[in-house]
Amino acid sequence: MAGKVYSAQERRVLNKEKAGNGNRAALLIGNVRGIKPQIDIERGLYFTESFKETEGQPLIVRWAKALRKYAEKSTISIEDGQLIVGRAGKAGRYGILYPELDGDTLGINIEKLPGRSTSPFDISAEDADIVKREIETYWKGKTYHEELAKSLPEDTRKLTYNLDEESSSRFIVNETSSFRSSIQWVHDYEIVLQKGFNWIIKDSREKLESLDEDSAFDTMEKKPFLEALIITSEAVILWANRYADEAERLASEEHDPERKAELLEIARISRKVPGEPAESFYEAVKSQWFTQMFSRIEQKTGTIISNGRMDQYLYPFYKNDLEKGQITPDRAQELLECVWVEMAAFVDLYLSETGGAFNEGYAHWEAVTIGGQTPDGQDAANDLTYIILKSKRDFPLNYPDLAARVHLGSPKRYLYEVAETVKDGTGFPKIINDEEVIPLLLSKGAEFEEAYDYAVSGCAECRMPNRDTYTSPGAYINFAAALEMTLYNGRMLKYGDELLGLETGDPSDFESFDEFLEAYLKQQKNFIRHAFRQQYLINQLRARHFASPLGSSLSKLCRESFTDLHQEHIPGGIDLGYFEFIGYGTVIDSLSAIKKLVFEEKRFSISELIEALKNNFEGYEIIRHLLLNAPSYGNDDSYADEIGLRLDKEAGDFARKYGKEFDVHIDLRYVPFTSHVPFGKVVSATPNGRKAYTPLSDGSSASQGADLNGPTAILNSNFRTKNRSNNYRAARLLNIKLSPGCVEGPAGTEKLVQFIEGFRDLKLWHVQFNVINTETMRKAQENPEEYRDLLVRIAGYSAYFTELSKDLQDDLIARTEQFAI
Amino acid sequence: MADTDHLRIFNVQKYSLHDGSGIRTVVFLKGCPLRCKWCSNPESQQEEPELIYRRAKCIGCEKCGLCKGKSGISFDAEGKARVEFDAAEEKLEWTKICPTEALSIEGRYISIADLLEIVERDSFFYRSGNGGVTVSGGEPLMQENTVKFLKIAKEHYLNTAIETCGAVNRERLLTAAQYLDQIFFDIKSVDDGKHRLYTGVTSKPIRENLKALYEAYPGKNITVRTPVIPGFNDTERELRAIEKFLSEFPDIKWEKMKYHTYGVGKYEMLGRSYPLANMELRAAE
Repeated sequence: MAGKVYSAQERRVLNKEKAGNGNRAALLIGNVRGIKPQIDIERGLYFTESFKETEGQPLIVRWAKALRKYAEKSTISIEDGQLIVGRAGKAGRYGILYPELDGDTLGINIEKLPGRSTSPFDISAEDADIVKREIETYWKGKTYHEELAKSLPEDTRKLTYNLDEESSSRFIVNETSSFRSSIQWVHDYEIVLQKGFNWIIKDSREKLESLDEDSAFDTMEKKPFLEALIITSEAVILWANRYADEAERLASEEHDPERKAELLEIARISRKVPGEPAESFYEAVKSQWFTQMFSRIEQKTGTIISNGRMDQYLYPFYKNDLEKGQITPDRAQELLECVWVEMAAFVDLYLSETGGAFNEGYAHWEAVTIGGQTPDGQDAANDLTYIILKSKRDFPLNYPDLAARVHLGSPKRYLYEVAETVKDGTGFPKIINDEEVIPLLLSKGAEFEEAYDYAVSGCAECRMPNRDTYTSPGAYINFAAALEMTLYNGRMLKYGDELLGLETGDPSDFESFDEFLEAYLKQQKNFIRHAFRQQYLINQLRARHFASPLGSSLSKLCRESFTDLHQEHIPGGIDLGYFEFIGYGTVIDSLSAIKKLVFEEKRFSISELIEALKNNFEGYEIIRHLLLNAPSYGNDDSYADEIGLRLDKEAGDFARKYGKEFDVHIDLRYVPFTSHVPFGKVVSATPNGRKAYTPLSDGSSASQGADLNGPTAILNSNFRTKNRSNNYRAARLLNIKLSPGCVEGPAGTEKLVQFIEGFRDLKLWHVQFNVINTETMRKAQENPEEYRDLLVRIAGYSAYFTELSKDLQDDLIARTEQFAI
Repeated sequence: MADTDHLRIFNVQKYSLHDGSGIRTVVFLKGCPLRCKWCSNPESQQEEPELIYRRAKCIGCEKCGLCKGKSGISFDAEGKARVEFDAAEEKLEWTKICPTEALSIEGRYISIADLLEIVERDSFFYRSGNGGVTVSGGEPLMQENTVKFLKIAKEHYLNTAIETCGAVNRERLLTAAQYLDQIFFDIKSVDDGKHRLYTGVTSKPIRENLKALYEAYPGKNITVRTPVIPGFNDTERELRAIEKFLSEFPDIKWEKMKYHTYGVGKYEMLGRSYPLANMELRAAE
């Protein structure tokens, strides 16, 4: 009998081996791994203190001054053994507060945090008291969240929030702008590495001097913008210098000569960057880290600020060091791994349960992009690309997220190393397809060199750092709820008689499937309509609540137009936003089952179906089984896929027609994070045989367990349900769970490469793999202690399996495992 | 139903990784001249579609007991259906009514055009590794239309492969070979008596077919496969004999396949018993 095949990760967990072979990063990670995160209140506290002092001043200046206060007053600490310094919190694993977002609910949420089922945090009683007394009281009545909740029209509001004190999400037409102050974003780090913040100060001073004092625009808009850039740049330099001071202090007390030398080198570099240009690989890495860390302090970017094309902008420094004999591949890997550990220490803290439920397992995606093409369209893979991939295999950690761009000219070595890394089984890297992304960016107005140079940002989105300018988070829409409203004439079982959607009629009066479909599409459209109304307000309100002097200083268009990144429109920019279709597979399969069983085969009536659904199939097992066996999405079955194509078309057409009014590409996306779990919790049983309040299908993946024709069929269904003529579309997230036996040995790698090439040629946006035996996850559920290191792929990121909620664990187990035959 | 343009198949398996180069779609054709006692695809043996009962899927709704062909159905202590396969005259009625597909028909007729359409749906995945279509079974060459299908597949520039037991009409085999890029040819034993005892036919015509194929198509990509079955051919002497026979064909690759029992459950589903069950089986390592 053939023995069971395990992935490299499964073998490590089974043999209780530690990753990283006891190297520096492996030792450092001991302070972070499996530790419950603490809240560090300093960011929230100093921002609040500063905001109290700056009322009435221009918003961007207030933000800059708050950053300066933080840089002056925050606690500076350096972890023993660490080569990379600059952190925003306590030792170990920490999260920080952004009270400007939803500080009004701090008191309520802080008390819930330690015991929360998804992503809990600890806070000391003393700190909790400061939060309630000094932070929450100031922000109450001033936050973005409160203003948005007040401003939404009544009929939009009831689809958005519950009627409770904290306006918690209703998970129907869900806004995401009040748990993050920007969508996922990536800076132009290159300008910091090449020119430094002193250049930004110099550039801004020159511009200040040439302002026209008679011009109100110059004095009221440009001047505060430039002053804010100067204050912020000085603040980040000051902050780095305080690390230099601390490193020198520690060096003076250090007895180990090796560590002493390390500390003195840390001090030297921290005095130099990010103010001055970097001149070595180590300096470049540290400059980048100070910059991204300060950006994390500046604002809560959705899924955390991304790292951009690290293998590209760091490569010249690596190459130069290598030529001078000043670096080895191992040393470069060690430095990068020190950065990964610092990323793991910083946890993206979501105060609201909504945010926590969207981003389970302490999710953050500071995506590192590798591969792809250079701005002139050549293949971009280099030595650093392979070092980063190797690091993911040698030292598997859930941060940073790794995104590998593929294109038609990707060399074999690159594809094979990507496949080898996927096979390791920790879910890295996710794969993003140039052949889909670049034409879409071009069609939306980008130049070739900008489009070729895109960076993956956050979960599955792609950004052009000096051309993108739209930062407003979009709506996550629960279309399974729209389906439920079609069955119950605008109502949902969870909310009783409350009319939430449209009254599209009693479905038992429908005489054809087309009538049912039309009714559903009316509900679908109604949700999008409300999402766009939300967006209209969000675009306006955000500009009054948030500023990003650091982000603006790193954007060419912001600097040229003296406009803060969070303003509604920035001259010359391309505005790419989106809204999410949640529950795609659930809705397609439900409609397909109704079409086939109720209207074509007449196995039961719609009233019988509704009775079965109302009873959550109890006593209706036969109906449930028939529903489960109906044609479903993800099997390359045109019966279901044609329905999917229609839903996609209707949603995309709406975006095309009404996005134009915004002058923004509000594109249709299929990226759930982990929201398909909480969204499922409001939706009763659905006609695809799904039980009440269980997870919806995720992203553009098939319903759990419905994809029975293998992974090529999943990709084909994805391909055939996409309206490629409409460019009001963006990422489609796709999860595939492969049995390790599918990819065993060199032949397995080769077949995986062929599969990835098929994905690329089909021009699908995104794919990611879990190479794991379902049995391993079941065992991890039973014995979490022994499986603490088990990483699994979720939705654009990897997380420790045992840190996920039971619901999400069950959902991962239920995803069909694809075997090779 | 059967006409000149149809094939009897029982499965189309996409994303097959071990049946030829690249990513393949395997078409399993129904009907086999052999009755190997270890056969792991018993549903492939009979030529015509047949009833299969997957007890694990039965929810005991007793719908099948209410329909016309109820004479062959009873219910056991757990409330699940018990099927008398021989008495089942109204099989089709049961399978139409069964909500869970516990009772279903294994095998169906499909036109060559429809089959080709299914195979070509995965074209994107065939490109980079010379993937394509593999006909398997049963014995794919038991059906004359398989040759026709292969010819058309070749006209569509698909990479083609076959898995054959070799006990087929020689002329058909040689005709088919011109449309095949890869051939997997079973040599289970070179001992005629033993071969007959375990598979129902002797080895000699199979060996002669291989020889004819080799001579007619020099340089053809042929792999001989030998399932290594405990108690049948797993001794050094047996395997040496095969090796010796194969030494006449220096270009041919030889793969030994491990015995597995994945198919055992299917015998019960088809109302049969596993032929090897009563035999002395050495534990397969």
